[in-house]
Amino acid sequence: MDNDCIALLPGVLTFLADPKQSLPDDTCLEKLLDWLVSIVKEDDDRNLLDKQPSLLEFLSGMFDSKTADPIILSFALKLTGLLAATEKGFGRLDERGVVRGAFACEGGAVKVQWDEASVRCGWLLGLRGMLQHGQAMLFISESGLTRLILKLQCDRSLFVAAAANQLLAHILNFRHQPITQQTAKENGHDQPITDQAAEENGHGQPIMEQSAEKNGEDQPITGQTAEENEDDRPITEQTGHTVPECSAVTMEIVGHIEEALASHEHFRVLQALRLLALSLPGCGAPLLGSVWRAALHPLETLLEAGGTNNISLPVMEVLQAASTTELFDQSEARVEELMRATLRVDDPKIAIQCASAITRLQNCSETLKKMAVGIVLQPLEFITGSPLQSQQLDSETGDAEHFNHWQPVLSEQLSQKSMCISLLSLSLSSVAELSLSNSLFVDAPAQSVTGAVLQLLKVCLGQSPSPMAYNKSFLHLIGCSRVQRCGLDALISLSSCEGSQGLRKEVLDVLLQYLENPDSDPTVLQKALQALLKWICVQSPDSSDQTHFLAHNLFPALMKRVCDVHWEVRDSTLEFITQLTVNSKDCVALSSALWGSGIVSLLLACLDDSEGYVRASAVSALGQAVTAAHHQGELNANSPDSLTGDVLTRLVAILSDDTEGFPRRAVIKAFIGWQSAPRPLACLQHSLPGVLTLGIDDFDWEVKVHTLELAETLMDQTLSGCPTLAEALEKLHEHGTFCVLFKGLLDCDRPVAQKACQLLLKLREVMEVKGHEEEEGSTTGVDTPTFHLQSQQWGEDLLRKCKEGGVVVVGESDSSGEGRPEGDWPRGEVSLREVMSRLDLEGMREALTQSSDHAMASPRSLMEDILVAARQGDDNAVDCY
Amino acid sequence: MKLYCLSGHPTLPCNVLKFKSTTIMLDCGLDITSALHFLPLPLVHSQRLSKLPGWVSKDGMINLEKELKECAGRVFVDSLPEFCLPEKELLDLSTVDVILISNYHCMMALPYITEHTGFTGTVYATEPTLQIGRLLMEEFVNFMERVPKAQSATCWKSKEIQRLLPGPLKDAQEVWAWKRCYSMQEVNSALSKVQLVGYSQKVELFGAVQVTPLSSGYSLGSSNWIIQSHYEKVSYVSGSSLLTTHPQPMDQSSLKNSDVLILTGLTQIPTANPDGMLGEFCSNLAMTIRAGGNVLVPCHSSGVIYDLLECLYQFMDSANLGTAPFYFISPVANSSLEFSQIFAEWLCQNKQSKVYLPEPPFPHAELVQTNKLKHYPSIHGDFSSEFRQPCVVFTGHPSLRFGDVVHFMELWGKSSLNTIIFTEPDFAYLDALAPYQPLAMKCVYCPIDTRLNFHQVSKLLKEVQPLHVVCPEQYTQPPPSQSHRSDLMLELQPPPMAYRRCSVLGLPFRRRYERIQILPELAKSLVPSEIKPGVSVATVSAVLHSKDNKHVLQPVPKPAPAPPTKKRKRVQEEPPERLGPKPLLSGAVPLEPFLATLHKQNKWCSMLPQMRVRVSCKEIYGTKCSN
Repeated sequence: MDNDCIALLPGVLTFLADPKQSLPDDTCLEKLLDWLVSIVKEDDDRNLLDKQPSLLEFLSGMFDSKTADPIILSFALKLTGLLAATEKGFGRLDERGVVRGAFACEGGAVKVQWDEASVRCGWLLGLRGMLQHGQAMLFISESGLTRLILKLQCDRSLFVAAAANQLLAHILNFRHQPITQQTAKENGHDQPITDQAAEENGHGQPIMEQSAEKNGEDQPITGQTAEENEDDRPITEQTGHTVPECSAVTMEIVGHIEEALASHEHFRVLQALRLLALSLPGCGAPLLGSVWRAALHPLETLLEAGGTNNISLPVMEVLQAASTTELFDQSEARVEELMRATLRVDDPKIAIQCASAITRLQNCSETLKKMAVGIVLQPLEFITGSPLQSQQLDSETGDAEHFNHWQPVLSEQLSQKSMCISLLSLSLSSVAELSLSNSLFVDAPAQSVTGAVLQLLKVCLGQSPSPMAYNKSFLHLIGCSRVQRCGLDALISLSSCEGSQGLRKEVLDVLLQYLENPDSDPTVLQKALQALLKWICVQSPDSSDQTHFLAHNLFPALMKRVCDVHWEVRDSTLEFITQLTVNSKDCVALSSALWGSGIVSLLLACLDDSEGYVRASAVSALGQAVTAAHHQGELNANSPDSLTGDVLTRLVAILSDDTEGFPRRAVIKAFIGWQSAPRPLACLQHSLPGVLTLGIDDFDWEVKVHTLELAETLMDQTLSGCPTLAEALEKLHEHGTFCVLFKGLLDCDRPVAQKACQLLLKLREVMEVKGHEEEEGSTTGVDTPTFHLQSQQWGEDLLRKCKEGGVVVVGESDSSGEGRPEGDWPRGEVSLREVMSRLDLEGMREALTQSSDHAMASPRSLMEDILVAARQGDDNAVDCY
Repeated sequence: MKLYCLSGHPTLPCNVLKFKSTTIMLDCGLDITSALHFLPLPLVHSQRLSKLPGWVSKDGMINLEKELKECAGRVFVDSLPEFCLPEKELLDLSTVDVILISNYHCMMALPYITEHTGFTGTVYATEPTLQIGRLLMEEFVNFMERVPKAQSATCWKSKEIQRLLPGPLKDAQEVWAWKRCYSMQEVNSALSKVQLVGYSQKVELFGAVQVTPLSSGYSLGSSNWIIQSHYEKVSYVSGSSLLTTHPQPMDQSSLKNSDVLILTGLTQIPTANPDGMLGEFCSNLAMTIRAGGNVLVPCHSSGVIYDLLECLYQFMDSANLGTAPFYFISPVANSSLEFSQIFAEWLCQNKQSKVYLPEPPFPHAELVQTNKLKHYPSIHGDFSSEFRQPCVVFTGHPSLRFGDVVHFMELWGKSSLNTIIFTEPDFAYLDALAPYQPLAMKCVYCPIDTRLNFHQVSKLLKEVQPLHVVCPEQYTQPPPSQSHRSDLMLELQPPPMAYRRCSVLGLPFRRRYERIQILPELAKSLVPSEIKPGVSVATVSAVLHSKDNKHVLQPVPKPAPAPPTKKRKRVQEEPPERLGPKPLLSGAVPLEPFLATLHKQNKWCSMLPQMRVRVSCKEIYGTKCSN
């Protein structure tokens, strides 16, 4: 616990309690609460309230005040919930009447300020925080707060309504949470206390899922021990209270859900459905059954009512939640039947959305899934006119008549532009997801689906799939980027499906048309290139038709796109060329086609592009092209050696002169790629010292980090490749590797220093291990390179920093035990070993792990800010007077 | 109201509107596509073209060796090119009162009309239209006159012979009406008849109708026209554009509430988006230059070239074009570049504001200043000594049949390093290339047509809501090559009236009203009697005076006073006796049946505050309106 901060807390609380003061900014209360959560978490002996009596004073003062600021009051409510989350804390607060003052709503500040949404929200979140033990539940039960919470479920403020739903879900899930030793230690961390958390949760993710995710399993949130909770007794029993008192609360909520689902008020029904979706996954066996029994009939009624289609999607969310529970396996729960009913609604749009959700379920029956797949594919089928599923399915599911009834409605919906685009996008996105699991294409073979997607993509280009097939909806799709992107995404996924490869040629033709189409949007082109890569890689790049396609169709199109007006297109094309080269590394034919197409000279020209991103991509593409060609001995055979030399010269020039960071970073990465290849380029060795020097002296921290990575590659190869350590160190010294490491260590950019420190530690370890091995057989120690510190910039920096007592800490005296005073470095030559031993690399590593803003972001800084604001407020008051 | 359609070309229209006793010609476009049937006119002697074999029919019966030559598997006419004029026989063109010009591309047939039909009227056009139109005509004449070719070919035009010729010459239409290019003297004479107008300026024609040019957004000074009388409005929409290019934006709102909208000049390549095509143009150009090749851009000397140069100006840095120069070769290149900079008031707002900085509105000034863009009147002279490769050459004519472009085709056609990029949409590029085959140079078709596309025009028509639309028949069906694209045609309710060359359309609305003014002294004498609340009637006895298509009801002149006599003198001293109206020539009007008839036809005669009587001419006077 930060004692300095604790000392400042009373002052801060006094400031907050003063209604005349105003906060320095809106977020400080959130930050303060976050800090208090961490304090509570660390408070092992649970006597924070005893150690900090100012907390109690503040809270009781707040709830008695008639003029409290609603924002501070909301903070106080959440703080009360946090502190009362343990039984001990609850007891201490209850003794002083704080719990009643805060949550009983009998009078005081809360009642006065109840109209403020922030106060109501704080009240709900506070209760939610407190409700971690039986006493809290008993308090809610005895105070009759359930009715009020239920009322807030339909509050005019959506934040309040969402918070109320979460609290209700928490109550329903409360008694079934297993308990372990961790108890309240976890509480402070896991409970959503802030408004922000409420907001996030309001957007759909069930609270229990979140905590389960965070904890890795259903973690305990109560203050009881595992022993106490070994059996599945209700919590109220364990704390000595009777079951009926607690179950009365849950039963009241269940009754409310049943009543609300039958209501004619849309928002009430919606909130009840949201509560169900939130609470079902966390409900245990007995209550789960009760809740579902209460909800089942109204849910069926809701789905039967034809005109309430807009409720189908929230119902589907409830069913999705139910599918994660044991209800899904119980036939009497009829979850699947209800899901089926959602697919039979009159509005195809809703049904398709529900079907899309069903296709994502892991464990539903094959029949239901097939039916959902069939529905999801309907828009695609309708537009392209090609049947995708066997007719047998409709008869199997008995829905043929229903689907026939649908056709005019679907046709009508697809004739409207926005609806057509959204339905097709949904359909195509589902195809993309479905194609990841091949089994789903039993009834809709991958080849048919791929064919249909291709037809659709052709329609988007303004072509008619066939002379006979004409559909009014085509007009909405011509040039529609959204559908094109979704279609191309689907095509990317379909490339991995068995059976779709039969259409490979057609796919490549359509993708080429997209590449050649002058009106293709840059984002569409990017997708088309990704799809091309996938489909090219489906087949061995060595095949003759593939090579023909690449040389005669693809490369000319790419060459034009490399010169495109839009830099995004040039960039995507260069990235594609890079990836294609990487993927076809072992393909001689591709490499020959690449070098023979003239594309390499265009890549060289792209190094002068006006856009930094494009230059960077050109560097990467050239890097890969040279690597691939070198890999196959192509450079020596077909292309002039001068080309590699030319590329190297141009890349070094970019590293030294380019004004933007991206191309310089790419250059270092290209060198890393070349250096780490199985057979590094021979001509590289001459350039390396220069590249390392330029890289570590760069202004861009990423270039420097990449330079250190290059040094690391070099270090690894040299240390493992040279017969003796001394030889390896000498070679590294010749390349200037150690200068790079020491310069990096002293760099003002933290990631650079961190990386250099890590490498020096690694080097020291290798030196120790290898040195020890070699020394065993020899009478003299391993020679290490020496430096004249005073004649090197980094050496001078090192000495200066040592004198200043800065980040570099001079270590203990060397192993010879001569006992030189700290910071007293010898003049003249110093060996690498000595430099390394005198640096406290571990200490530096420790210091470097702290973020640079750790002082500014500290709770102490936060509280000082609040207190300074308080003083300024006083000064201003005097000035005004 | 009638419309006589003298041209079948949808973007080079020539229509005559007869409206309220005026005869108005709308545009005067010259269809130059006929030139594609002729051999190119080389500026420098071409061995290849001079040695082409003459054409003889397979059976040897027809020998037209001197007139027709075989080249690359096709037959071409070996004479000065001839052009398809607007139809002259459909009506007497000497009766045309005025010619309204929409843009400089639509006036190229003007000398044929004004100089050879007995035309005595006035031509109305904006200043940039006149000046740039003059440049285009000057260039046109220059292209023809500098390569004189005495030979003229007429035998092949004989119907009997033409039908035996191979295609596409066999299918050429109206070949007998084709004419050679006019002379500069005729151009000057024709242009002397032009009267300049500004946007929204109202020009009165004989008091009968008012014509007003509106900005159409297509080219410098391009206009649409409103032709209206007091109760009728006809809009004439020619080449218009909604894209943000250099001209002033299109004025759409003034087209609202038209009775008839004549729609011509939509994009010729509806599937080609100009932005995409500009991108294609730039990337193909960059690709060729980087590979060490030359780029040839056959284009008109004004119009899209300004946008191309602007686009290249922006693209040059990122395209990494090195030091490759741009050449603009045309007899009017200099004037075209200079003129574009001086018509600031006709430019879009963005360019107008540059003038106040002061900066030239178009960036090609900077290109010229930095010697990046060089312009020459011809390939002869300075150009031949300063010419450097690789380079980009902009030159005419886009038909590839005459102008300096012919020389570059001969020069560069054999190398696959070079590229020809077609940007003008007026000519089928494969037909244009036909006499140059086999060709090694790369050909790229990037037609840049900024005129309205079908989607834009549908939105425009929804906005302005004309009662009737008249358009070329080509707009009423999808292009033959894309018959499934129902979005590439006009689908309107009621369906548009389609026309073709030589159509005469009776426009589907009847003029029902005419404005007649009642002089105040006559109005004062009227005695209205209220027949129902708010509706009064009065019988009017007056003289209808019509002059310059303005109608005025004047009081009946009083008879000359009789010579004074003693007897009469006494009578005169008595108060004058109020006389009832004299019986009408047409007999007495039975009031009740008259009102019943009016009521039945929902035509009311009411006394308006301005003392105007708004009645049906036919009902009152029993005479028909002028048309």
